[in-house]
Amino acid sequence: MAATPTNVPEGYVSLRDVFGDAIMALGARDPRIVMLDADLASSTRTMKFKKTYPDRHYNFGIAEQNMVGAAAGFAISGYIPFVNTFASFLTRRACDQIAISVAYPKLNVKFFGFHGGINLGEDGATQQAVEDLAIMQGIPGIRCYAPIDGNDLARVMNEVADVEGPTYVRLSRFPSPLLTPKVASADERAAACRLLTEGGDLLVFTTSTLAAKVIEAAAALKAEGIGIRVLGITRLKPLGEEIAAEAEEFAGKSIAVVEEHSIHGGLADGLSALLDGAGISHRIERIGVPDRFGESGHPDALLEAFGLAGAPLRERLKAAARG
Amino acid sequence: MIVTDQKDIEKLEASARRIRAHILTQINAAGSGHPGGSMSCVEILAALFSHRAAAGAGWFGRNARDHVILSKGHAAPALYATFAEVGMIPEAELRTLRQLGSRLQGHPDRTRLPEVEMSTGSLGQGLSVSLGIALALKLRKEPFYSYAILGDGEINSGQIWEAIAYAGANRIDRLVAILDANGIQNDGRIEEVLELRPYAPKLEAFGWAVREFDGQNMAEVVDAVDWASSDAPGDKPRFLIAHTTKGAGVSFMADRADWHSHTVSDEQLKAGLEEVMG
Repeated sequence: MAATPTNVPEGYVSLRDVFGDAIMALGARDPRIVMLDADLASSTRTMKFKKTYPDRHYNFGIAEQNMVGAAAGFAISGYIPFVNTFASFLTRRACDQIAISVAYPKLNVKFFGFHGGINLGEDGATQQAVEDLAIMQGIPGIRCYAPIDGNDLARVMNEVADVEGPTYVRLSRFPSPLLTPKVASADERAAACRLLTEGGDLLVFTTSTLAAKVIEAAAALKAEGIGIRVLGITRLKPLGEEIAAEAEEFAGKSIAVVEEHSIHGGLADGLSALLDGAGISHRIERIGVPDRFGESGHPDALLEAFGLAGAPLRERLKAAARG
Repeated sequence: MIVTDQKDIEKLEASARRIRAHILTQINAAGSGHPGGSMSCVEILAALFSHRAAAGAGWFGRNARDHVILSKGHAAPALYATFAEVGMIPEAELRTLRQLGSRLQGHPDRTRLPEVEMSTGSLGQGLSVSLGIALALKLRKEPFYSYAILGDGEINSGQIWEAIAYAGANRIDRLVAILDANGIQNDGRIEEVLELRPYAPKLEAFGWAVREFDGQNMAEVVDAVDWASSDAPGDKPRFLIAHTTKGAGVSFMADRADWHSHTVSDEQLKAGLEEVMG
């Protein structure tokens, strides 16, 4: 387990804690919901659910393929299985089961990939996932989400519990700042696109809790007279049509995508395909993880080393704004 | 223990002959398919659908019923033939196997043909799904069983053993695995590819109740299915090892690896039909 300090700063919330609360509320509301874990229940915050609903929690051990297959069986039987483990293990170890036992038969299985991206830090590349969204987006018919903060995840939880069919939600490990308003009601859904900061020199699309780092960078650049418009994208697949209109308004100016994911198969690829389909010419500066695995390090140091936070991110955004 | 009347066994044997004939005509019409592994599991399918589940038109739409997954999805022609035999799909539809737009895909697809319990074809996945169904049956305290038909090549797959471990450790007594042990996989005989025999001691060590029998003998198959679908094995998952012959019923196909994936020519169809229908 990572040795990173767990003191949570004021205004910061851990997505998995929000997840743990959300499944209690959803579980009370819908008796069809069952929790499936693979020996990481303490990390995925399902222990409280297990205590309250012991019959509706299953621990499959370190056997992700069997867990995903069993989820398909629950879905066939009318239950709504929530499949919980690290994003890395879920998407890399059980890829074929997700595709053939769940997505191909269009079953109502809810996947949750914990510790997505590299911000898990010290544990290193084997537990990190820089390709989870590429894998899940590449499989036909799976709706994919990467919430940008705790409130956003609460909206996503409402949404995935209600939509029929397979979904994937990527969560981050460490507490992150709240950037979006509190959820007003259980009917509230995730926005297709959310304006996070205003600016006229560069349009940045970002996703997952990395959004906080992008906002930090945008604030610093504002002081230098560079205006950055930051849009947070929660649902990566399908991308909302209105996102194309946002990009079109910026025609002729610079667009960047900042994501804690491989530059292959993530938000940049999805956005590019959306804009191509809409006939909007574009050039996207791809700020993500190049063709490489993650590594060990303090989460903040690691994000900076990968050019996704702090001064390195500011420099890349500045260069992108210049065009 | 239910002892099935000899007359019922003879009816099931007649059913099995028609299912074999359907398999041959389907693969002949399609121009490709997997006849060997389809022919070996005919008695298992007949015992499950005609005898145990007493399936017919409308059976599948019921909420409360048994569940059967053909995990060895390449034996799809045998599954479709059984559906036609019990009246779940029209017999005429069998001729559409593997054609563009057909509900009868090369490997079973539940989105196109809702009577298919689970889409299969990527080997090793069906037992876990049957396990999930068995867990749901236990959660709802329903008196039905969840059956998975596995191939002996298929159990090379690690996921099968994940499911075996979980079901044994957790005493999932609504789960019945049926191994179509025809002794041959794609690349050759089991012992030439990956020898996992003897099966029974391994499965018993994982906490399963195991029974071995002649998988081409209808009375033995019915007896084993009845045993597995009763309280007799206790609170354990049940594993039926059906010793079968690849290509069973047609002499020129029997026990030959090259009939795993093979077309059936018009001449072979004629000769095969004569053999299976007698």
